[in-house]
Amino acid sequence: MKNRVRELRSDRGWSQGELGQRLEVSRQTVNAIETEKYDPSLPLAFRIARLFGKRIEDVFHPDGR
Amino acid sequence: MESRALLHCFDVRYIVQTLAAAVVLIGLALFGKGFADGSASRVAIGVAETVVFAFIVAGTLLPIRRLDEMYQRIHLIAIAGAFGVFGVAVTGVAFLAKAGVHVPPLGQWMWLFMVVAWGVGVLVVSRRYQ
Repeated sequence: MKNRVRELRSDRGWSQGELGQRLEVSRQTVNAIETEKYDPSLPLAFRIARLFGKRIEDVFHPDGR
Repeated sequence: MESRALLHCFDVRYIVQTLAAAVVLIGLALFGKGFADGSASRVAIGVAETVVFAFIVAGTLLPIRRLDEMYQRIHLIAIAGAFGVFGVAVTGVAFLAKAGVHVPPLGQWMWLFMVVAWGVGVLVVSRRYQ
């Protein structure tokens, strides 16, 4: 699954650690999501989208588009 | 990925309570030697040892709940892998024993072996998310 987490995080000037704190997950988990090695659960994906003020489909793209 | 972060749920409190439980376990084992095998007192001490050991097992597994979802997933896969490997090993040893091969009693060490297999599993699975 593709995502725009790194792009959205960089736009806000947050580090991976800061984003992790806001989401209550580890920096390593943020990194694994950004590098698309780990697909977050649906609740975490919603938290990410809500944090960036986006809809979930604006952040995550199941078909890679 | 920092394996230290993966294991940070096993903090000083966990180590102290596990060591304390281990001391109690050793004390019970030594105390139990003063009673004849099969006696009511010896059996009661065996039950007490089991309860203390259950405390150690619960104390080892429950801290995983404090980890985030990706770390929990890594531990879950590692535990499942250790369970499978250990199931094959134990069953294999049972088949060998049935075939007449002398197998030393390893029951008390099973948990230690499982924890080691689990730890190796965590290291292997965590590489997938690096």
